[in-house]
Order: sequence, then C-alpha cells, then structure tokens
Amino acid sequence: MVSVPGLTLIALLLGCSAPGAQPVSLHYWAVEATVEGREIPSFDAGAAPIKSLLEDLSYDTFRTVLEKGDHIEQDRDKSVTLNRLYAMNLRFTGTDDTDRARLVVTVTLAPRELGGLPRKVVETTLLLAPGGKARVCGLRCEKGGEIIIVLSRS
Amino acid sequence: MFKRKKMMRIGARLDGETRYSGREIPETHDEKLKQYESALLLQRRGAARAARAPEISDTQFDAFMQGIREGVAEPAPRFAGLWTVASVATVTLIVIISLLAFFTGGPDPVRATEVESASTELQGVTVNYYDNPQGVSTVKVNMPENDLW
Repeated sequence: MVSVPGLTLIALLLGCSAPGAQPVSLHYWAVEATVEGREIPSFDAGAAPIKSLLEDLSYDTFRTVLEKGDHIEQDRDKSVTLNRLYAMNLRFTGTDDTDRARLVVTVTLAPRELGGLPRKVVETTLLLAPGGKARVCGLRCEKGGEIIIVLSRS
Repeated sequence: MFKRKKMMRIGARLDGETRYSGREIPETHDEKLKQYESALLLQRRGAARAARAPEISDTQFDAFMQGIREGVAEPAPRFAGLWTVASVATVTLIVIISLLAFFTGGPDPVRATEVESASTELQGVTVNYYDNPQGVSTVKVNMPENDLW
C-alpha cells in the first residue's frame, strides 16, 4: 500500500522532472515581392538582413510589410495580420529530441464576403533547429507579386 | 669620536693587525672601553670554539663505523610497487573511457530545419515544400491567379 507521504513525494518528483517548456524565440518577416523591371534586385531596409534568403526567388523588388521578434509560448497561439488579405497564426507545440522547435504556421486568407470565415491557405508544421530558418512563399497578392514569410529561430 | 677611534684600535690590537705590531698600545682605564675589550675577547673565544672541527676519537670510531655499515646494509626504500599500481590504474581508466565512448555512440546528431508537413484547404491551391540550394526549408503555395478575392 502506498502511503500519503509516498504519493506526495512521487507527485513532487513528477512535478520537478517535467518543467514547463521554454518559449521559442522567433524573428519573422513578411515581405511583399514584386517584379518591377529592375536590373539589380532591390531590398528595403527591413528586408536587407534576409537578402540571402530571398535572392533565389524570381522577383526584383522586396518590401517589408511586417518584421517582428517574438517569444512564442508553448501551446499558445500567436496571430499576426500580414496585410489586408493575409493573416498568420503561429503555434509552438514543443521540441523534438534534437531540440528542434515544432512550429505550426497557418496562413489564412480574408473571407470573400463580409462576415464570412477566413480561409486556410496553408498549414505547415516546421521543425526549426536552433538558428534555423524557413520560409513560406507563393501567397499571391491582388496586383501581382506575392507575400513571402521568413521565420528565423534565435 | 675619539672613543670610537680607541675602540677600533682595541679591536685591531686584539686581531693582531700588523700596523700595530711593535707598537705599544696604552692600557685603557676607561670603564666602558674595558667592557668593550672584555666583550670582544669573549666573542673571539666563542668564535674559536665554534670553528673547531668535530673529531672522532678512537673510542668512538667503532660505533661510528658500525652506524655506516648498518646504513649501507639497509635496503633503500622501493617505490616500484607504487609505480606499477599507478600504471595499471591509468591503463584501466583509459580502457574504461574508450569502451564507454565506443558503446554510447557519441553525441546526438545535429539535425537541420525541415518541413514536417504542409497542406491547404482551398480548392485549386496546391502546396509543396523543398530546400533551396542554400538549404533554406521552403513551403511553396501555388495559387490560381483569380477567384480568390
């Protein structure tokens, strides 16, 4: 028979051995990429730090529409509006055995009619290594071009 | 100053310096100078006794030699056993560490960022993912040009 002190000790040990996960530190950008006939690709000041992550795309002009550094708590949603059409939701669900952060990125498109529901354009699960970077491309804009989301883990 | 000079002359006379040989140094009647001379003589006697080399007399010689013979016959302390134990312990430690390093397989491999899954709910939209030449994980959404907004 397990005594009350024994149960208390087990509960304490379990509590100590499973501390809450640390939040993940992220820096993310939303960049509007367009073709404007430039010979040399142009990056605004916000996009300059991630120039190397955008250069291979077939656009010549990159303008930052959002740039933010954030700590994402585990199992908490973080929603940000990218522009008039798109919104992004981030959810950190924990780390794997090699310390990669599992991050669920959901991008929604504004409803077609007023009062309608946002439409899920893409939902992706990323495994971000410490210092790792990933991007979501192809979020088409009304006047041509697209929104590119870049995520960088600190 | 004159007293100091007299003290120096007393010291020189007691040391037998040549410049005072043949000269008669008048005896002093000053009490302090007499004390100084006595103290100097006492020091000289003490120094002469301390400088005398010890001698072993014939009666002590047998005991002296006996001590030497015992010292020669006694084996020197041996540290060979200690060195052996230390060497064996070191080798054992190295072998244990090597075996542990071999069987534990080393540190976990570092794994790169990757896309685990990607999907869409929109009709006519497709999603794929790849790593670009620079190794950046990329999710690519392919959207039709119209009928989305």
